[in-house]
Amino acid sequence: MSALLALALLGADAEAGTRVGGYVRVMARPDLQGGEGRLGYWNLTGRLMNEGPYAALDVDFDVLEPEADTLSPWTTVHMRIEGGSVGGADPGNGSLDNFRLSQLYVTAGNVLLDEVTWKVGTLRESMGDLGLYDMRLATTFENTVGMSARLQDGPIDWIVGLGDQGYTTRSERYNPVLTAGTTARLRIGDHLQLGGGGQWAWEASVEGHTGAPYQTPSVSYENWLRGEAVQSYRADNPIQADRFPDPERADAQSGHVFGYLGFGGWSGLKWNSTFVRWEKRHPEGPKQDSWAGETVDVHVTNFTDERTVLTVGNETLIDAIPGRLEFALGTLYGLHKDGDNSIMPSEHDRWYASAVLRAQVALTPTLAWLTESAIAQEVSTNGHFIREHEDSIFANTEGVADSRGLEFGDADTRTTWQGKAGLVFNPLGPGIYSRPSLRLLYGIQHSNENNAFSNQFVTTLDQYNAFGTVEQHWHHMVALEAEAWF
Amino acid sequence: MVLIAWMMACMHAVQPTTSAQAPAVAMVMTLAAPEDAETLAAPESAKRAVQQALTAAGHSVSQEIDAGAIQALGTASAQLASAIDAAAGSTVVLISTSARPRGELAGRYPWEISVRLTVAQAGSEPMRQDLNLPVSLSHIHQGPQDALDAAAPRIARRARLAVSRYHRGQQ
Repeated sequence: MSALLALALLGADAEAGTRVGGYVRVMARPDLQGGEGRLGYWNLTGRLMNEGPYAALDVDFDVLEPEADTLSPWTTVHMRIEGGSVGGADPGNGSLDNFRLSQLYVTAGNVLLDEVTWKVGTLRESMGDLGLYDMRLATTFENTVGMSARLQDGPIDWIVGLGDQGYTTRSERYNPVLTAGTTARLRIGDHLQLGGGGQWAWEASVEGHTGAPYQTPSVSYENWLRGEAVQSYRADNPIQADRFPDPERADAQSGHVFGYLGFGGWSGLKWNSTFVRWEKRHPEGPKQDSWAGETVDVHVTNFTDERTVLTVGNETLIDAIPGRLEFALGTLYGLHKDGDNSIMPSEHDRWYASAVLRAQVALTPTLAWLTESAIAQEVSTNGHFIREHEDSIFANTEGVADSRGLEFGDADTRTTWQGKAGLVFNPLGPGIYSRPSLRLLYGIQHSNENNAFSNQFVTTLDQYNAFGTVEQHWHHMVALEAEAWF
Repeated sequence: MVLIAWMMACMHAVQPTTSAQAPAVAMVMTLAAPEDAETLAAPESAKRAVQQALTAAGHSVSQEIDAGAIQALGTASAQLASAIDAAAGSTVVLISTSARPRGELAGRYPWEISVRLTVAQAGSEPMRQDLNLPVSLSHIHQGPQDALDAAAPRIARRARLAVSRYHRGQQ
């Protein structure tokens, strides 16, 4: 709170040495079909009408300003507060609990080495964006606090960094997660960019530290999934004097690599960005398991250390009629694998593919008509995960009702189509990515899943369900929204 | 549909006010990127945007003053004096800009363009305006010249208004 006030004061009194900026996204989307103001579940069918409100305030303060055409030292303090809530626009109602000081770092240039910028603090770096999906696959040092050095010399932009991501990984159970990484981007002429990078993290295995990575022996994967580790142990060891097995030290590592290819600047092709990212997720910490009044921490490092994600995304921006008609085409593919889990559908065992096409025609220099169509398919590779009908079964095995089954619903594939259209005010001129934009949109979705959007329907088939169940596959919505960088 | 039809009916093209007797203008635009050691030139597209705005207001605009030579002079007063000398009686519009990058924000690359807009004529008090214009670029490879290009429509509008005010003040 005090930090926010300090930033507000800085912003109000901004002088030459202070630069204030930010980002806002706010909308009213009354949902007359029982939803919570979003057309679908997530950005796989495009970010438009699938995201909630957001606000970020960004401040740079020049302690020592750089001087043009010289290599004299300079230094800047950077702070960012951001969060996903706005009064009246979401359940958080703009509460400051939803905001955080997400970035704080100090940069210093031309110290010790010319054309090198040193950064100490939060290190997050991103090489680009799939704007239609609001996804950044070329992001590094996302959760890292440490030090980096950046060399910008002609066509080369090279960053090396190292630090600790223990607090973002483990929070109150802090344990050092040492990490190092690098990214490099090369400009080849004015029309081609190549980039790549990676980061790896090792969690310290400190003997006796309760937050260090451990694995509880003699617990099966299925018993842990079902929350029956203690129950199962007591079935085999009914005497309370038999202690639940002590955890054993384990190895926890994670990391990612990515590649980026960008080209464009020819006649109609404004720019094309292709990203490939492979990621190994960090193993999870302990989970509590209880039975008959006995509660223990089950350590699951070895149960969660084979989760990988491969993501490939592309976005093309085409200026079909300059100043009049633009197209943006996005495609995305994701493959999530969990080598430990072969029995239960989860978000770690699936693949998905999506395509989004947006066209925006400028009716005047400041008013445009937007049309977007998106198709997406998500497939669970460990069995059923969605309910297609209001009376579909819940837990099942191979589609047969089974109260002990680990599958859910009656289908392993969700296919979703969304269409969006409406007027856009662009005060700063035409363009799909011209901001600020004020939009009046209509959106429609069809999915084979019943009620494929966040909602508060009661889904139980119990005869005493006072609210009944609802089946609907079409979802309509009108949105009044604004988005701006400033 | 009714709303759309109503809005379309309300829309009309705004024609710039022109003045047949508007004085000749000599325009210079410079660009600095303080975090780079390189000397930069303002992109032609940005200069063209300002020129078009001034031309639409009825001014004849020349860009014959050497921006590089002006930028090489150490102080703002020396730059202005040199530009006035080179303008041979025309009104000078000296636009000194500087572009600074900021951290990536929500998928965009924000920049801040600082502009010192000076309108002057030999023997008269100059008029100065300082502007800070934020712009957000879509790609990481875009640099100071792209940032200035993105801010050019706003700079052009402010330049047109400043020249108009300056000449009104001279009358």
